[in-house]
Parts: sequence; C-alpha cells; structure tokens
Amino acid sequence: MTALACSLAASSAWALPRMSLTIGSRCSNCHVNPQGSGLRTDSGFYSTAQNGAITWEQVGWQKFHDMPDNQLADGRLTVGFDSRLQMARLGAPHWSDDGELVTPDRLVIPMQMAPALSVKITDWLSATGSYNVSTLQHSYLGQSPYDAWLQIKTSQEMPSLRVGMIQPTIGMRHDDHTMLLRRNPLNPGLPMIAPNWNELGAEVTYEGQHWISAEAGVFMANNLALSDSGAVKKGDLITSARLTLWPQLEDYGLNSWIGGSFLKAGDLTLVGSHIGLGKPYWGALQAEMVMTQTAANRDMLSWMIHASHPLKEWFVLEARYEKSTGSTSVANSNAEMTSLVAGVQFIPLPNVELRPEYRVLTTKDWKLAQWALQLHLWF
Amino acid sequence: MAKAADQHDLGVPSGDARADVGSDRREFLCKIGALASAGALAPLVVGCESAEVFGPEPVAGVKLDFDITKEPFKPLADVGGKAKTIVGGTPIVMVRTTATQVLAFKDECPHKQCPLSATGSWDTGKKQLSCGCHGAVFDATGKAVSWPKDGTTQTNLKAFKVTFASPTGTVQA
Repeated sequence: MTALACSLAASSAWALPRMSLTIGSRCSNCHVNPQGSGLRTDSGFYSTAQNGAITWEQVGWQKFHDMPDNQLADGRLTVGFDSRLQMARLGAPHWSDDGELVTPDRLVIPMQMAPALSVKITDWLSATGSYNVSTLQHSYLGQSPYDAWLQIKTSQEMPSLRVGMIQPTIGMRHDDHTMLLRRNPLNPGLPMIAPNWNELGAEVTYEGQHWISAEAGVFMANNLALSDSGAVKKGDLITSARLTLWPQLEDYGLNSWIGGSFLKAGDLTLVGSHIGLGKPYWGALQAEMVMTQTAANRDMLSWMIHASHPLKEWFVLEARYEKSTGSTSVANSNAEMTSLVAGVQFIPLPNVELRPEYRVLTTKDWKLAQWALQLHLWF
Repeated sequence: MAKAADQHDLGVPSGDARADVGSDRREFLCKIGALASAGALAPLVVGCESAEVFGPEPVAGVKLDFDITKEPFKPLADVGGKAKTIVGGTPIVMVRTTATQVLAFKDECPHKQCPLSATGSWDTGKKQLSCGCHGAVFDATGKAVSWPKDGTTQTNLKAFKVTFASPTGTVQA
C-alpha cells in the first residue's frame, strides 16, 4: 500500500487534497505538516523525485536524479523549499474615470519563496518552521509570513500535539488561495481567511486508526482579526475542530472521506463539511461546503465541486465549480460569486510544476475570463 | 547476460539495451513534441479572455441630493460613518469626516477595485482613507499616499465634489 501510495503521490506536487483522496493516504504521509502543504517527509520527497514528462537524468543532471531523500544528519534534519510564481490578471474589470472599460493588467507575482526546516530533537519531539520570503513584496491582510511549531508525537497510534504558529485545521487545506471557500463575496477583493493563515496556539491531531482522523485546537486571533475585522478582534479566542471518516471500498478500489469542521472566533461561527471519492489511476471527485455566520447577521455560504483525472502521472486534468453567496442585514446588501476553473497540472521535470488554468469569475457587478499560469518549484 | 554486461562495461550497449535506448529516445522526443504542440495552443486560449462590467457606462455631471436622516445615508450622521450610493452609474462611497464635512470618492479602490464602502476605513486623525483589502491609503483629495508593494502602478482615488449643510447636501459625479 505504501508503494502504491508513493507511486501515485508522484503526480502531486503540493498538498493537493485530491492526492490524499486518490490513494487513501493521510497528508502526513508525504508532508511534515499533518494538514499537508510545504515541507515533505522522506516518503513525500521520494514519491515526487522521479515523476516528470522527462527526468533529470534525461537532461543530464544525474546527481539530482539520484538524490535519495531530503534529509541530513542521519534523518535528524529535513529540509525543503517551495517557490511559486503566479501570472494572472488580478483585480476586477471596471470603468475608468474617462469612461473606458479597464481590464486588469496581467501581473507576475511571487506567491511563495519558502525555505523550510524540520529538526528531530528526540524520538518524540520535533521543531518545524518555514518563512515565506515573498511576503516581503506581496501579502494579503492576515497572511502569515511564517509558520513554526513544536510537535510532540510519541507514536502513530497516539494523538500528537503541535504548539506554535500554525493554521487551525478546518475543511481541506487547498493550495489555491483564490478558492471561494475562504473568500467573502461581500468583499470580493479580500479573503475572509488569508492564504497561509496561521495563529498562535495549540492543536491535537489523532490519526491512530486508518478509518478516522480528528483535530482540535485553541488559538488566539491575530491574523484572522486582520482578514475578517468585521467579525473577529485581536485577542479573541479561536476554537476549531475537524472530524473525518475515511471509508475504503476495497472491492471497488475506492477511497473516500467524509467529514465536518467547526470554528468559533469572536463573532464568527464557521461550519464546514467535506466529502470525496477517489480511485487510483482514475482520479478524484470532491465537494466541500463552508457556512459562516456573524453576530451582526452576516451570512455566507460557499461550496465547490472539484474533479481531477490523471492522463499521466505528470499530466492531470482538473476542473472545479464554486459558488459563494453572502448577505448582511446591516448594510442591507447581498452578493454572489461564481467561479469556473479548468486546467492542467503538468510536471515537465521532477520538482517542476506548470499549472495553466482557464478561469471565469463572475460577480453581480462584473465578469472576468482569463488564463493564468503558475510555476511551482519545490525540493 | 555475461556478454551483455561486458558490452556495457565497454560502453557498447547490448541488443536489448540498444532497443531500450531507442525506445527511451523515441519516447523522449514524443514528449518534447507534445509539449511544443501544447505551447502552440496557448494563443488560442489567450483569445478566450474577456472582461465585462454589468450596468451602464457612467455618465459625468450628474448630481444627487442626499439627506443623512434618510437611508441609505443615515450612517453619515456619525463622524467616520460611510454610505454608498450610485450617481450617474458611478458607485460612490461617502464619508462623514467632520461635523461639517462629507467627502465622496469612487467606491472602487484603484489598486484592485475593492469596494471602499465595505473595506475602507477613515482615520479622523490622519484624515486618510485606507482600503482594507491590501492596504492602499488615500488623503482627503484622493491622492494615494501609501500603496501595496506588488508592482502595480500607484493611482489616485477619484474624488467627487460635495456640498453639505447638515442634514442635507449634494454630491456631483
């Protein structure tokens, strides 16, 4: 199963929930962070090291091709790096002061340049952190430039504890920060939950049984008070929890998950659910929903459905549809956004990902159809 | 097998190995060809881009009378309060800056078009309007005094003429 997981995970270049769903494997199998994203474990590194349309060996870089893992000092140190450049039109079409229709310029934005390190201090204690240098140039309100935590993990069967600057676990952690699940249709330009959101706090993770996983955490609001200042104030207590069941229909080779999330912070209450179905070499179908409500009667409902199919391990077709609606009685306004994204995850060389996408985003006031391209390099 | 191994040692591929190398090369070239073909399709995708703004094109010179005792202008009863309206097709955010002054700006931050009526906040001390989306800041005339460092061009916020004698006034788009 591990071999199968690794061979299939090879088509993933990031903490893509679809990969976990396809192979029925936890994010923590391939990432140091149990939520997924960022620094890879030795299994995660190995699973992507040979996957590409062409290999490093074929272009003459044998040393990189033969690199066995991303660990140093007899496995005490795990090192990694993620870099992402996004080329897209950001913003909304609008009338200029001269009455001309203005289409947003296409920009190239460094989204992520994040070296990461994990140190195994003892058999049960580790320290992990990363710093996203690109936030020095561009960041969203509430985006955390770094994450850092101590993890106590005595065995796979027992719950583990993380303490530090970490992201409360809710729903699935997607690598695409433009997804409507974490945006506010009433303020289309402002994420309700910023990309790389982290808060100071502690979280317990349980993955001791193959059919269930659970997380629960307590945090102090700081960054969430920046991205959703209307509902959360600095210093508010954040409580979060997620429960996921992982049914496997072995007769059909199907993996699945179904679960729910809860978060309470200040005046904000968030309830979410996620469900998905995946099969090796076939792909994945997943859906997720997030409902939020504030004491000031701001209600939002966002949902998405996402399908993916690997033509090759290094060439995966992807499409998703999202819808987000919101209303607030205070300003007596309501809003709606829909998003259609179709694209390809293409890995020309191991550790190099190109993701061309066609995106159509529609609000009550405007519509923008564009192609976008993301370059992702990782180690 | 021993013969094949010897040939490898001499740098001469065996028959099977030659077949493998040829197969690898063909596959490699096919992949390169596929990539080139995909690249050639890119301009077609670019041609599918479009942008659309719903609603009529704004008309300049239109005036609107307002009364802060009536909706949607009631928030202007308090200093720091904001109200949004549309004048001549232009979305406008109005801000009560002092007891005797109301300012009006285009309700679109020129950075990423965030609606300032929702994301903007007026600093009465600095007399500045800041956008909550990405942090652009404008003075009372709409001049950009702080701009996100993301490569976009610093652009001023369009301001509109307002006459105000509490509780009524006029804004001109």
